[in-house]
Amino acid sequence: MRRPAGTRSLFGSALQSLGLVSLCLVLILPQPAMASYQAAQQLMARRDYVGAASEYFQSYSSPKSPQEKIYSEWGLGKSLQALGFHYSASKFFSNIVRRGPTGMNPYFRRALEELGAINGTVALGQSHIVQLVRGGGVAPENIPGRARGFYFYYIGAEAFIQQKFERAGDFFKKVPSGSAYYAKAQFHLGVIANRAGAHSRAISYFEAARSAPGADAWVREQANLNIARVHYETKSFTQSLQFYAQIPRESDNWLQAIFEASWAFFLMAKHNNVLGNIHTLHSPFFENRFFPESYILQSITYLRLCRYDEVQNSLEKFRDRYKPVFRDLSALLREYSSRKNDMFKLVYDYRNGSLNNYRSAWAILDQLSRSDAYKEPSRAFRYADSEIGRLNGMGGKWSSSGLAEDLKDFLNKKKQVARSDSGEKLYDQTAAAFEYLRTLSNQTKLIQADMFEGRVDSIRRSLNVTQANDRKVFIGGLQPLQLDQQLEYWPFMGEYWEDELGYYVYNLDDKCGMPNNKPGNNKK
Amino acid sequence: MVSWFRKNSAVQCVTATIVAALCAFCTLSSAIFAAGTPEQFEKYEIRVIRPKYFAKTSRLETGAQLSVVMNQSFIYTYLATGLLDYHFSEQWAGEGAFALGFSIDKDDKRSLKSNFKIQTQILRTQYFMEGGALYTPVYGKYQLDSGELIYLDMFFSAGVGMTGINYLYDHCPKPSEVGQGNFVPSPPSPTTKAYPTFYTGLGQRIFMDKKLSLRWDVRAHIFGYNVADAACDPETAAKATNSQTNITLQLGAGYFL
Repeated sequence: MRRPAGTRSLFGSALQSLGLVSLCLVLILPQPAMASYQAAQQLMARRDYVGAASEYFQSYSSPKSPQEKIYSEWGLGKSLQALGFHYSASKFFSNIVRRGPTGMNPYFRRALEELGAINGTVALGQSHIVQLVRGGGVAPENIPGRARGFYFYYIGAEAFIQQKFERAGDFFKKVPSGSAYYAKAQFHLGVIANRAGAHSRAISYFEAARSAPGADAWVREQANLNIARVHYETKSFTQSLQFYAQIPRESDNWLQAIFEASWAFFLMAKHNNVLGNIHTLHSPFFENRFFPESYILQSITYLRLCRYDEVQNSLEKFRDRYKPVFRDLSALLREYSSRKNDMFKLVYDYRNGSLNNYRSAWAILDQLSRSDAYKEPSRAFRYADSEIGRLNGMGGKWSSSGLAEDLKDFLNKKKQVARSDSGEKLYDQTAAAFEYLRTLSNQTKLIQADMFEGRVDSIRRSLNVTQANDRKVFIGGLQPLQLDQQLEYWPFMGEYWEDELGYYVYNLDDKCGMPNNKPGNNKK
Repeated sequence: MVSWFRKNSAVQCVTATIVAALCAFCTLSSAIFAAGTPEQFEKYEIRVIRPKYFAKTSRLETGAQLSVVMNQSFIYTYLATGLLDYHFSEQWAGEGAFALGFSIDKDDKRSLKSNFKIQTQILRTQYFMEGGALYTPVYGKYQLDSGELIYLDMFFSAGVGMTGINYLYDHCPKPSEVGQGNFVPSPPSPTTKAYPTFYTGLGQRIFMDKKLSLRWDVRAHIFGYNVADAACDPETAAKATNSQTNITLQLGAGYFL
């Protein structure tokens, strides 16, 4: 701190009066709180947000009255937000919102609006917001218009996570149509309606979600996927394929759509399309993607075509590919069972290419890295690190008041919470993948055993494939053949081309009824 | 429509294009590049079947090119060329072309005249207008090292038209240039004469998007002309017909409506 003018004479002369000493003390000691608040107000008016934040923080930390603490807290949030410290500002706005809409909390409504705006700029994270709005006991008239979407959506989301679907639906319906959260609310209403078996209503909600003005790519894709799934459930396979086909190739969900569409093709008895889609899933481009069920689907498709050697081959490939995965997953789950928080770091290392172990489980880690359980905390890390970096770059401007340390502490805790929440979820998803793999492995044994014990006909009957849409011909890309359509054909000769992925169609005949075509007869 | 051309490098592709073009050009065989049906791929267990990236059927193509006559010893001839094609199917199209241009003397011609007093007689192509058919048996793609895909097709063209030859009679001695006692008639005034022409060629389109393509053509324009038309004294010149082939390289772009 700069030494005030005159201190040298204070120590250098024995004749200093008591009044001078007092003046110097006033200069050296910290400013009284009220002075800080007024100074902050003046600095704020001059748009000196750096100075204002520091002064507000001083009056917030040592307030002269409870009212001054409330005013300073609001001012601090506003000055930080003006500087682009959105996460840091959210700390103070969140404090205000948590106190609820009482008479002693005049900034409740405005803080809620600010949080809604911040969440639109930098995602605060579902757990942060749910914890803020938990209970939802605030009367709707106390929720300002601009914050209604934000508030009701997240209360609904909390109820949704707790599987209180009726309550969730009530809140989602309160999200105004002009809100940025409307599309997501409609999407969740669709999921709830579908769970209740109201398929048509579910589709209407999904349609509303994807066409809402605020619908982002995530909402549009998830809405399309879910419309496809509803049609699949209602056995409208052609319509189902139409919506799977709308997932763009560059999307993380594209392979999932290809895989799910394969089941639709299977149930339509379009075996060459099923095998074509699986050919895409098994291409070297996707060796780190996790679709073990594709081998089961491939084997039962070959089974329907009475191609027993291929069935056997497919089951063997499943075992070859997933035995090591199973082993690595088991070791991974053992190692991380007592430190689930570190799962985020593990996935992060995989994503950055610095992971060298659990190589066989990379397909699972890849899947985890594409999940919201990883993406959401990654965003929180990115924003928090960015603000910490800016705080470090500010030199000593906020150090003397303690604001910089306070904000860094908050941001680091936010990272810690994000890591911890994410770690739990990622661990659970890994355990689920392990169980899934175990179930599929059991299925392969059943298919093989039944096939060799001569129960092929009963298996084939149990696959319950419809012939209803048999007349329709599908080309690659999940598209039905149109009349007069100009097509291009490329033969596959062992060379995968990226642009051809998703467009493969097999050209295999049914071998059922051919003499000597029995399981094991053609074994080489 | 057959799509049967793909390699993973531009160099291989160009080589393959030339080989394919020569094969097809020499034999005019339909064996390799025949108009295709799905049955042609019946022997393959796995196929890619998808809507064609660039469909031409029932579309009008407009094009602009710069044509250069490549087989002239003493002049450069450049022609601005406009094309109008209508594609009846993926393979067959009708085409009309009109080109108008000018010629520039090469140094060789000037040198022969100034150093050796040799006056070269040349045919300066001023324009051609032609109509014909395009047959497109090859549609393919290749991948650049960057991973980018480029779609292309290759076509053969043939048709008839007229070629306009501009006679300057600048090789004719002028009366003022000959010595006293020698009489030469005044050379005829510069004129342009048109001759019936047959052309054939091949070319390639490289599709930039669903409407725009870069296009090159190499064409041979064959026409017969009256030797007397170039003579300095048409009245005494022997009447005879000679044939001339202009080989043009045409570079430009096509836009599909």
